Order: sequence, then structure tokens, then C-alpha cells
Amino acid sequence: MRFAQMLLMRFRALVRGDAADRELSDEMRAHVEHLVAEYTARGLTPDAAREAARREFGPVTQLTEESRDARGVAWLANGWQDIRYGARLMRRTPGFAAAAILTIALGIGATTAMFSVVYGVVLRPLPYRDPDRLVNLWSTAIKRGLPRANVGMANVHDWRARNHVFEDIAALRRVANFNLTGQGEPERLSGSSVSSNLFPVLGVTPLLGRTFTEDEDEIGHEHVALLTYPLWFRRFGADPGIVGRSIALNGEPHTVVGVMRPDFAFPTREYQIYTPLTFDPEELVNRMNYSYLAVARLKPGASPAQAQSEMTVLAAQIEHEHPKENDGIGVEVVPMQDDDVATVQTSLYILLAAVAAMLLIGCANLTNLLVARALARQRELAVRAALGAARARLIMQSIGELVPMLIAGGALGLLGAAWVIGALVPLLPAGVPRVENVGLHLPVLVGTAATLAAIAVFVGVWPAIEASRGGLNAVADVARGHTGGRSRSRVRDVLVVAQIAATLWLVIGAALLVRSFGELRQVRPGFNPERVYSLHLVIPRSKYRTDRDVAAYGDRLLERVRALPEVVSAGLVNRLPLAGGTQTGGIELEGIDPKATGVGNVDYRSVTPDYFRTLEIPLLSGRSFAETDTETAQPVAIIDERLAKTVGTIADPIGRRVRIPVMNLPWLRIVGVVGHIRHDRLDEDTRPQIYFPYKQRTQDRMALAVRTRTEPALIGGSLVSAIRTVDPEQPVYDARTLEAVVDRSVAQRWLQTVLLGSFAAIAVLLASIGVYGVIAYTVGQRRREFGIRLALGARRSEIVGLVMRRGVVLFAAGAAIGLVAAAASARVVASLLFNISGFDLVSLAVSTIILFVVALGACGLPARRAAGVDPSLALRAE
Amino acid sequence: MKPIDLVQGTLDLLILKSLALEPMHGWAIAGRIRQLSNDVLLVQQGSLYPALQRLEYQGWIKAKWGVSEQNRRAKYYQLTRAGRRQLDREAAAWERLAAAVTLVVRTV
Repeated sequence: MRFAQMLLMRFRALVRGDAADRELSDEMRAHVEHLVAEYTARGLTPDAAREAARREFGPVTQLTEESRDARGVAWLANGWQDIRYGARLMRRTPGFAAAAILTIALGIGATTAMFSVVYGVVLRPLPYRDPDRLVNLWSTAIKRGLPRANVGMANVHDWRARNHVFEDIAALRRVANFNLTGQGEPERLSGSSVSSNLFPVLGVTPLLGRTFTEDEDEIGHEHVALLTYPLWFRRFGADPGIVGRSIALNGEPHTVVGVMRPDFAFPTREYQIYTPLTFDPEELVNRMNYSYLAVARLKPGASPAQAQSEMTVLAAQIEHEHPKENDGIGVEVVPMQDDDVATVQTSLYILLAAVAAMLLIGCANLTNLLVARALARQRELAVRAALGAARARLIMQSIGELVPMLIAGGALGLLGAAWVIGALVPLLPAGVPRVENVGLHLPVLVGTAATLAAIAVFVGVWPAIEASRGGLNAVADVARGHTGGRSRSRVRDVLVVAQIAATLWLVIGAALLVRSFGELRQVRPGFNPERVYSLHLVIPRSKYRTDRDVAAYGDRLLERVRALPEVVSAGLVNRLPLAGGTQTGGIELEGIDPKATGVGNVDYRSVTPDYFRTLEIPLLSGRSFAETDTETAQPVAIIDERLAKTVGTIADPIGRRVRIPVMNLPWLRIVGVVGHIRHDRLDEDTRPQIYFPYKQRTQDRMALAVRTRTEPALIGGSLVSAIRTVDPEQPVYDARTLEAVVDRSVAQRWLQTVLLGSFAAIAVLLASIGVYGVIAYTVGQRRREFGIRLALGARRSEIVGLVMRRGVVLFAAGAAIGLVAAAASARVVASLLFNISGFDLVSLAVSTIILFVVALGACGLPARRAAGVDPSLALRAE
Repeated sequence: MKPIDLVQGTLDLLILKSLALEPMHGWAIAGRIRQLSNDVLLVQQGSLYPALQRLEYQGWIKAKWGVSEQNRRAKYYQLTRAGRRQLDREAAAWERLAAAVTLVVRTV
């Protein structure tokens, strides 16, 4: 409080400085008039009276000055003066100023951009009411090899009826294939069917119209739709009269009841449209369908941990009541804020640490430059210190002089960050959640301001302390022409050691990521993505009602596609590998105890016969599917080699029977074994695969894969027109080469490798400037000494050795610290690595060597200059 | 007897003491100090003003513009509550100092 008052007063004193001065001089003049009047009354002449009064009062100007100081405006006025002085210095030394401003801009830009990503993705509260009370509910089925799975509607119903910790539980199901037809190009939209209570649970209201009503949860009332703001804007031209209009979704009319607000992107920004969630009541009885997501709002005061323990008890009860269906099914309660960012959090924090390290390295350079400049002004500073200028005042001055550069650099950095956020953040891989939240939000700006302030202190304090050390002795030293002893440059040494340490840490991190990415690209996915083009189709059931219709449509499509001259072969599959979708389930091999095999979940794939040939998935034994494997023929299946090995050799399973362990599904005869592929991700081998003939297990969501004779990217256009000749209303999405699909699946790792690699490269550059600066400075200081040594017969190589030795000592100290830091953070970094340990010796060694070579190079130039010293000139310089 | 120059730091105490009775303007404070000390203490009158600014800045006195007896605009200073406490502290400290000095001077 007192401090605030004081600040206010000082501020008033500063802004009202002139007014206060005027008042004071009025006051003093009145006082002098009084004295004059008094002396006149005593009988002095007017002149004598005035003279006497002046003498009695004292020197007016000096007193005014003293009063001003007493008002406490001094430091602010001085500060302003220092800042202006700094601006003048900047204009006088433009090269220095540019280097400093660029260093600051680079550091601030990088840290601000990175922090805005971390803030937007990880820290920023979700745009819902009381977001900390929102949790996601997941099923767990550890026994079946599923640590986390979607939830079943039967369970959601039981949870909702029996829990005491949640206000409500909402359910939704992802719908990947809303075909929007009618206005313009047919378009496939990703969306969601949601229970009507989702919106109150999240605590959101629509921008236009209304959300769903409870009635609309009933079958027969569900033909309504809610649009997201981007969809409304893009597809319907932000038409305010959209509410009440009918749109065609999957060939059926839906009435638009509302439009959500711009910040609504639930669960992610990929979801563009919502319809009510209806489900087959049979699901509540058979408890089989686990294809829903559940979101719950905690009651006020209830914690996620409490919810977890209650739900665990509930799940056990339900398991007890339905021992068969709910065998081993548990519940996991995860705060929504943490849930979808868990995968990227570590990576983001490591990148933030990397840019912070880069900033520090840059600041160390800046400090070095400023220390050098302050030492050049040492005499002035030492004299001022000796004349009684407080050290605090000198530090304030040093910081004040920095302010213009900080402002310029900070502004430039912010512009850069804004550009990065605007232009580059939208290009982040799709796997990074909440990218739409990234922006220069207030906390980010506060962070930037705090960083600038920290730089001011970190960078500003050293030069002042360095230069004001030693008081009058220093003045005398300067006067005698000595510039400091060895102790003088200790601060600079410390800075360089720190720079090398931070740089080595970064380089090691980058090397680890590069090695890990190399390992990842070594992984053979089990299929050959070269010269394959792929696209996705959604086949509307409203148009092709039966499986046979869909299969026939698929046949017609393939026929047209195969007729294209560039096409070698073409196949359909319900889920393309590494494209993000999957369909899984249990499996039962005839004659084998399911518990004994430990097979767990497998990928279900429906494929047309040429699929294996198109992706070059090798057939290891038996036969592939044939056109004759129709719905009326004997049901067959193909398993992959991993599944085959659970039976025995790859030849053994042929002729055995297999089935999906659900109700009345028939047994299928295994006719072939194909190679295993990586389906979900390159870096994780998740499940074995089983394939069904497309005609025997028809799916309405299909990917088309085409092997081409030439460059696959060129075929996109003719493929789409071939498809449109079969059905002009067929939307096509996610069309790209299979290699692009594979690349996209590792885009996140690629990006973090590239980012950390660039940060490390910049750090190496900055650090080599730092090493060069310090060594060059030392050489300059020791010119005379080298001259004497040379005059006394030292060889030039010895002088080079002398200089290089110093560089090596500094490097060794920095490298040791850097290696320790790398070891300390190895475990965190390891979570980003694939097939590489955090202590990977190759990375450690290569990084150290690279940096060592760079440091030697940075020392080399000054060393050569030292060796080139002309003894006679050096001695005469004294 | 020749007037005595002020001991460093005592001006603040004198100003606070003068203002203890009533608010007054600068000119009157100078007069009051001279009068109270029987003309013994010599205050260079101008040096009152830095002191007044300092005391105001410390929050011990506050100033208000008013009209003087001669019907002129004048700045009136008055003690704040904190100023009154400060006066007590400084007065006590001064008495201790004076007593100690007296003791030393008188001891043979």
C-alpha cells in the first residue's frame, strides 16, 4: 500500500514536475518578498533589502534542484535520461545496435511463438463453463489388451443412473462421414452425433437458434443438425436465415436448428456438424457396442480423484451384475483439460526449453558485447563511482541504456511471433490438438514482457558491476593504461562456458531426435507405399441401401478406375493403414482357447481381392481373395502372419476356422496368410490383422488405393472424374499419395526434429560468435604480452597454442556441464525418441565433436591474429 | 552571541515541531524556528524548502494552498498522523543525543 502510494507520488511528481517546480518557485518568491519587506521596514534601501534577503534565503537555483531531488523524481527522471542516452548510443553505433536488436528479436520471437503454442494447446482453459469440472470417461479393458477404449451405451446408462459425483454425463459418437449434398460440390464432413445434454454439460449456448432438445434423442426425431461456425461461414456464406432451413445429409433432409459460436470446437476443430445421438435399444441389453465417447461434469466440490474412486466401485458392481459382458471393463476418469494434450505436452515443453536455452545463449552474447563496451567506458564509470554514484545508480543506468534496444527487439520479436502464429501454426500436423487456441493471448504477452524485463536485468547488471569494480584503483589502472587483470574477464568466461553448455545440450537433443527419426524411417511398414495413390469415399446408405448395392457400386467404381491407362491395380479397404482410422475387435480361432492365445484385439479389414497386390502386402501361404468370394459363397478370411504364429507356423492355419465372437456371426474359413503391416503408426506395432472379403463384410466407408505406372500424384484428377462418372454426387476426401499418408503419420516427429534441429543450429551459430568474441577480446588484451614473448623468441605456433589452450579449457568446462545437463534430461527427452536411448552414445559423441570443431574454428581466427602480432609495434603501442 | 549553524538533520525535527501546533506556511515556519530558539538557531531560510519537499514525500506533512494573513496565496503545511509519530521519535532521539553530549561535555 505504502509502496503503491509512493509510486503514485513519484509518478505525479514526474508528470507534474513542471507544475511542482512552478509552485515551488512561487512559494520561494513569496518568501523572499517577505524578507525584503522586513528589511525595508528596518530601514534599508530597496536594493540593500533585496540583497540582504537573497543572502538570508540562499541560492535559489540550487535549492530548487535539491527540492526536486527531495521529491523523489530523481530516479525516474534519471531513468528517462538513461533511456534517451541509450537511444543516442544506438544511433551512434548502428552495427552494434542491429546485432543486439536482432539477437533480442530472435530470442523473443522464438520464445513468444513457442510459449503461445504451449499456452494455447496445454495451459489455456477450455472455452466451456468451469472447464476444470469437465472430465472424459473412458473404458479400460486391460485384460483384453486395451488400456483405454471407447465406452458402451449400456455402461453410460448405468453410470448416469447410479453415480453421485457428476452433475450429468453426456455421450457422443464420432461420425466420420456426413455427406453434405445439394449446394455445390458434394462434401464429406466429419461430425458427431451427440446426446442433447452435451451442450448443458459443457455449458455452451449457440450463436443462432438452439441446441438439441431431449425429444430429439428419440429415434424418428433426429433429423436435425447443428452447424459449427466455420462450416456455416464457409459453406452457407454466414447466412443468418439458415436456422429452419433443410440440408441434405447422407441423402436425407435435416433441419438446421442452430449455429455454434466461433470458439466452439468440440471435441476438436475437425468436427464440423452435429446431429442428435440415437442408438438401438438392443445395445442396452447386449452391452456390446463400445463406440461412444462420454463427457461428464463434476458436481461442485467433487474432484476427479473422487470421481475415479466412485466410478471404479461402480464399474466393479456392473461387472458383478454382467459377469460375461463386462468382464474386466473398468472406467478411467481424465480431466478434459489434460486429456488430449497428453501426447504433445512433453514435446512442447522440451521445445520451449530449447528456445529458452537459445534465448539465454543470445543474451550471453549480448552481455559480452555490453561488458566489452562498458569496459571501454570504464574510466568514466569508475570516476563516477569514485565520485559517489551509487552502484545501484550505475546498474540502473546500464539497464536504462538497454531499454531502447529491448523495446525495438521485443517489438520485432512480437511481429515475428505473430507471423509464425498466423502463417505456420495452421500448418501443424493434424495430431496437435487445440491449434485454433494458439494466439498472442494476454498471458503470453505478459510472459514476453517478463522475459524482456529478465533480459534487462540479466544483461544490464553485469556490465555495470564489471565496470564499477575496483573504484579509484580502477581509475588509476585505466589512467596507467592497464585494462584489468585476468580476474576482469571472469564474467565473460562464465558466460561462454554457459553458452557452450546450453548449446551442447541443444545439439545433443537435436542429434537424438535426428537419430530417432532415422530409425523410424527404417521401419518397414509391411506394405510398399511407393507409386500408390489413395482417397477416401463415403457411400451413402440412403442411396445404396443394402450391402449388395454397396458392393455392386464398389465393383463399378473399381471397374472404371482399372480402365484408366495409368492404373496397375486398384483395391478397396475400409481403413487405410497409417491414415488415422481403425476398426478393431476380438477374434476366436476354432479349437483354440481364447484365453490361451492372448490374441486380444485385432484389426478388422474388409478388402477387395486386388488390395494386397496394390499395397504389395505379401501373400505368405494359401490364396488371396477372389471375385468368387461373394456373399453367397463360403465365408472366408485371411489372417496376417502374426495371428498365424499364435497357431503355429504360417502354413498351419490354412483351412482352420475363425470368427468374430459375437452372437450369430458365422465361422469363416482361413484361406490365406499375408504379411503383417503397421497399421496405426510406424513407431508402434499395435495389433495383428484379419481380412474379410469386401462382399462378405461390406462397409460403407472405404478407401480406394491405386497402384500406378508413373508418378502417383498425377492421377488424382482422373481418378475423381472416373468416380464421378459412376456417381456425380460421390464426395471424395483425403486424396493423396500413400507416401504422403506415411509422411503425415510421422509429421509430428518430423516437425519436432526440424524445430529442435534449427534451434540447435542457431544456438551453435550464436555460441561460436560468443567464443570468438571472448577469445578475440583476450587476444586484444594480451597483445603486448604476445609481442614480448615473440620478441623473446617464442615461436608463433606457441602463441597459437596459448590462445587455443584457453579456448579448449573454456570448451571443456562448458561441455562437461552440457553433458551433465543432457544426462539429467535424458529420461524426459527419451519419451520423444524411437528405438534410441536418451543416453545414446553416438549422439553424445557426435554432438560434442561437432561443437568442439566449431569452437576450435571460432578460436582459430583470433589465434592467428595473435600469432601475427608484430613485436615492435606491440611494444611501441605502450 | 553568534547564532549557531544547524546540526545536520535537525532541521526536519524543528520543522515538525513548529508544525505540531498549527498548519503554517514556509515563511511562518522560518519565523517560528527563529522565535522559539530565541534567535539562537540560524536557518538559512531557503533550505527549508528542500526539507519541506522531503518531509512531504515521506508522508509526514501534507500541503494545501490557502490565503495568508496578508491576503496572499500561500502553501500551508500540516502534520500528518505519521508525521506526529515521527516527531515523537525524533524528539526522543534528540533528547537522548543531547543528554549524552551534555554528559560527555560535563564530565571532566
